[in-house]
Amino acid sequence: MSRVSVAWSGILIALVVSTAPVAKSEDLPKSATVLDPDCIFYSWPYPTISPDGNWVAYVSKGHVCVCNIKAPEPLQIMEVSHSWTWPHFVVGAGNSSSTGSYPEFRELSRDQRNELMAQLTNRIYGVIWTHNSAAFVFGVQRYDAEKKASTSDTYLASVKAAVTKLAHIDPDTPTRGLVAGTLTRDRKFLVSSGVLATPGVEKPLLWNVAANKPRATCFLYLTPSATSGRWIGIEKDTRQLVIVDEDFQVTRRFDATRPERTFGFRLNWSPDERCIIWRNQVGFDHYSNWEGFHMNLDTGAKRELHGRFMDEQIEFTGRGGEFYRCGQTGAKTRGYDTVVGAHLTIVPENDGAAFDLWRIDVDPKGPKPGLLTNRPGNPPLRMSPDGSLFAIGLPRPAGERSGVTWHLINREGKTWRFPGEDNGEFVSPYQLAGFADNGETVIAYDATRLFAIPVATVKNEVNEINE
Amino acid sequence: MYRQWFIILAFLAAVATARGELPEGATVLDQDIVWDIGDPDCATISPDGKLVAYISKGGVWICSVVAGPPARLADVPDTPTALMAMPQYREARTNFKRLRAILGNVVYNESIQPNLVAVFGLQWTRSQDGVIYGLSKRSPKDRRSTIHTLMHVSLKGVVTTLATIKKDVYGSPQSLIGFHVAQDREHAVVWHHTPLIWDLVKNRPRATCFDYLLPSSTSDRFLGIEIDTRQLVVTDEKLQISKRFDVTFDLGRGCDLFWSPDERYVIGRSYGHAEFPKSAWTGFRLDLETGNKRLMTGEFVTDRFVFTGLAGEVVRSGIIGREVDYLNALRGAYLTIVPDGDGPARALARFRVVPQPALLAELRERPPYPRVLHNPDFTLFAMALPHSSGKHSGYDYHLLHRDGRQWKFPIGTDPPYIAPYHLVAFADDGRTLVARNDSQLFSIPVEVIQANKETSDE
Repeated sequence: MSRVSVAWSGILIALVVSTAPVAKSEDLPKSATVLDPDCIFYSWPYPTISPDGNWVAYVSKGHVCVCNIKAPEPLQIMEVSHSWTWPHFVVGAGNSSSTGSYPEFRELSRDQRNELMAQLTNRIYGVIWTHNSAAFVFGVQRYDAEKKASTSDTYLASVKAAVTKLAHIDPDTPTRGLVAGTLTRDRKFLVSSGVLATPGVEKPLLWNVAANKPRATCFLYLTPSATSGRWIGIEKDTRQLVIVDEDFQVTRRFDATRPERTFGFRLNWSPDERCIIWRNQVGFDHYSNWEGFHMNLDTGAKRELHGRFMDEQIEFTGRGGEFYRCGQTGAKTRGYDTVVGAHLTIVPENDGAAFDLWRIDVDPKGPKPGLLTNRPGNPPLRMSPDGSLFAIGLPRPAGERSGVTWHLINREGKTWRFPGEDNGEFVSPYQLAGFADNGETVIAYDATRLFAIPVATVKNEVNEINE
Repeated sequence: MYRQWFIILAFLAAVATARGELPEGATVLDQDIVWDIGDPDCATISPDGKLVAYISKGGVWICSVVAGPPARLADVPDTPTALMAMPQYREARTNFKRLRAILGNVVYNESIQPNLVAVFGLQWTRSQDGVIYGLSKRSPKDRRSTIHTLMHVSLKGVVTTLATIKKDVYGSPQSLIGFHVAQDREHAVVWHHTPLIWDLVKNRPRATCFDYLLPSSTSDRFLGIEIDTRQLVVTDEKLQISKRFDVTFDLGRGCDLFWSPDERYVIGRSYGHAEFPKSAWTGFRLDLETGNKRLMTGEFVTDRFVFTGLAGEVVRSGIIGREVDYLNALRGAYLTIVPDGDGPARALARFRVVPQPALLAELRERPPYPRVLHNPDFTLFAMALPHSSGKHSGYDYHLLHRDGRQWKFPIGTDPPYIAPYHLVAFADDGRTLVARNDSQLFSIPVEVIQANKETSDE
C-alpha cells in the first residue's frame, strides 16, 4: 500500500467514525448484547425486525445481512457491490476497502465526489419480512452507466441465507417500477407500492412471480392484513373501499369512496381486520392537511378524523380499534400551517376521549427543538407488540443542541430515558430499530454495532424521568 | 349529354359561390344553421348514409341528406350554438374572425357564461334508432368538477338520460371527450385517453383493467391495452378479455390504436408526450390473425388512419407542421394509401408550401385546416389543397379519386379561406356530399363536382 493510500485510509476511517449519518456511541449500555460488532450503517434501508421478533435484517458493508436476536450469528446473505455501504470504493489514490465506507461529501473535492458518485451505481431497497418471519424481501436496483439504464431485481432471502430471485425488470419491461414489495403468503405474487403516479399517491403493482410479469391490477391502493392473506384497498374507478382475498378478488365492499381529488392516501387496517383508519391528503405536499375517519367495518360506525400533517404516524395498537397518533402538532397561523409542538396520543375505539401520553408545545416564532420526523421505514415512534410501551425520541431541553434522545413511555405516561451518554448527534444515544422478543428487548444500532438492550434494564429507577 | 349538363351545372355553381349563394345543383337541407366552428364532430351521417344529425341553434337536428326540411329532435340549451343563435350575433356568424372573438370572449368565458354546456361525441346508434350525445357542464356546487351526461334521443324526439358522470379535474380520466354505448345499453365506455366503464343500469363506474380502450366500429367488442401488463388485448361485449396478443406498449409513452371494421387489423402507435401534436411516433400495422407486422413511423402524432376494408389497406392522412390555435404554422398536408403487405405507400396528395397570410396573428382569424373526407368505398376523397392561384391564402377543396384523377370544386373570384364551402361528409353511399356555409346546410351530388374539368396533381 502506498503512503498516499495509507493516508487516505486513515482519513476515511476518521471520517466514517466521526461523520457518518449513524453515529457511534461512546459506550454501549452495560446490559446490551452485541449482535453484530462490525457494521457500517448508512441511512436506509433501516434495520428491520421480523414479525415474530426473533430476527433483524439489515444492510451493512454492502451486504444484506440477517441476525438472530437470541443467538446472534450475523449472516451476510448477499453482497451488493457499489451500494451505499460497500467498502471497496476507490477515490483518487485511496480506497475504502479497509475502512468500510467513503467519507462525507464535504470532505471530498469536486472531482473526488464525481469519481465516487460514478461508482455508486447500485441501491438496495426493502427490507420487508414475510408473515411467518422465515424470510424477507429486498430489491436491488443496478444502474448501467454505459447503457444509461437500470435493472431491478427483487429477492427473497431466508433467515438461513438462501436467496431466491422473485422478479427481474429490465429497461425493456413495459411496466411500472418494482423494487421489493410484500410477498403474498402463497408466494405467488409480489405486491409493490409501484411508482408514484401522482405525487404522494401510490398505486400497487402485482407481480406474478412464476411468470415474471405483472398482473393487471384494478386497485389504487392495497394494504395487507397483519394476520391473514387478505388485503384492504381502494378499487380503481369506483374508488370504493374493498376487501380482497388472497387471489385479489373482491370479497367485501363498503360504503366509503375515496375522493377523486387526492394528494396522498393512507389506509391502516387493524390486526383483527375490524377497523380502518382512512386518511386523504388534501394539499399538495407532505405538510398538507388530511381528512379522514376511523371506521368499524362491521358496524359502519365512523369517527371523523383530521390532521395538519400527512406524515403524522398513526397505527393501531392491537387492542381492538384503538390507535395512536404521533407526530408534529400543527396550527394555522398567518394563513399557513406551522409546527406548534408534538404529541403522542392514544385514541380509544369508540367515541371515548383521546388522551395524551406525551405532548409538548413550542413557540412557533422561537427556535424549534429537535422533533423526529416520519421518514419511510424510520418512523418517530416504536411500539411494543402488546401496545403497552412506546419508544419515542423526545426533544432535548430548550437551550441545548437541537435533537432528540430516545425514551420509553408506558401507558401511564411513566417515562424512562434510554441508557447511554448523549453523543451530541441529532438522534442520541443511538438509533432504535424497534422492539423484539415479545417486547422484552429493543434492537438498537450505532455506526458500527448492532445490539440488543433488555427493556427491563431501561425501566429502572436510574433512567426514570420524574417531572 | 349528361357530362355536358354537369359541366353547365358546375359553371353555374362557381358563379353562385362567388355570389355567396349555394352552388347550382345543391339542395338546401337547413337554411338557417348556427354551427359550432370549434367542433368538427358536431355532425354525423347515419349508418345507412341517408340522414345527417347535427348540432345547431341549441338543438339536435336530423335531416335527410337529399332534401330538407330538418327536424329538431332535442334541445341542448346553454350550448355554444344556442348562445350564438341569439340575434345580436347574427352578423358575427358570417365572419369567422368576429365569431371566434365572440366565442372566446363571451361564449367560452366562464365568468360570463358560468352555465355553459358543451356537446360532445354526437353519434348514431348502430341500429339507427336515434342519436347519442354527451353534455358537459361545470358543477354549480364545485367548480372543479364537471358533470357529464350521456343522452339518447330517438327519431321521434324522446330524450333519455343514459348516464350522469361527475369528474373532478384531478380524476382519471379527468374529463370526457368520447364514449361508446353498448347496444344493450347496459354499459358505456367513456374516455379522455384513459377509459372508464360506466354501468348504465346502476349509473356508477365499474373497475376496469385497461389503460386504453378502442371500440369496434361494427360490434361492441374493444381493442385495448391492459393496465400494468401493457399488453394488446381484445375484449368481448362484456369487457372481458377474450384474446391476448404478443404486443406490449411502453408505459412511459403515449399510445393509440386504430382498428379495422373487420377487427382483423390494427395500427398501434407510441409517441412522446412532449410538444403535442408535433411528437414523432413509431408504430406498426398488425394482422391479428397471422401476426404479420409492418413497421411505421411518422413525424406528427396528428396523423390519422382509416382502414379501407381491402385486407389491411389503410388510408393515411395528416398535416405537416403544427395546427394549434395561435401557434398555427401549417406547412402542408398529405394523403396516402398504404397497401396491404409491404408494398410502398402511394401518395394521392401532398403539399408543403401554403400561401399564408403575411401576419402570423392573422392565422388566428382563419378556420382550422379541415380533415380529409372519404366516401364509403374509399374511391373518392375530398381534401383541401392550397389555392392554386397563389393570390389568396387558404385552401380549395378537391375531389381525389384513388386512381389519380382530381376534380377541383368550383370557386368564384373571391373565395373564402376554405373554398368554396365547408364539407361535412360523404353520404348516400358516396353519391352526395353534405356541406355548409355560414348559414346553410346543403347537399350536393358528387357528380356535379366530377363534372368539372379534371385537374392534374398540382
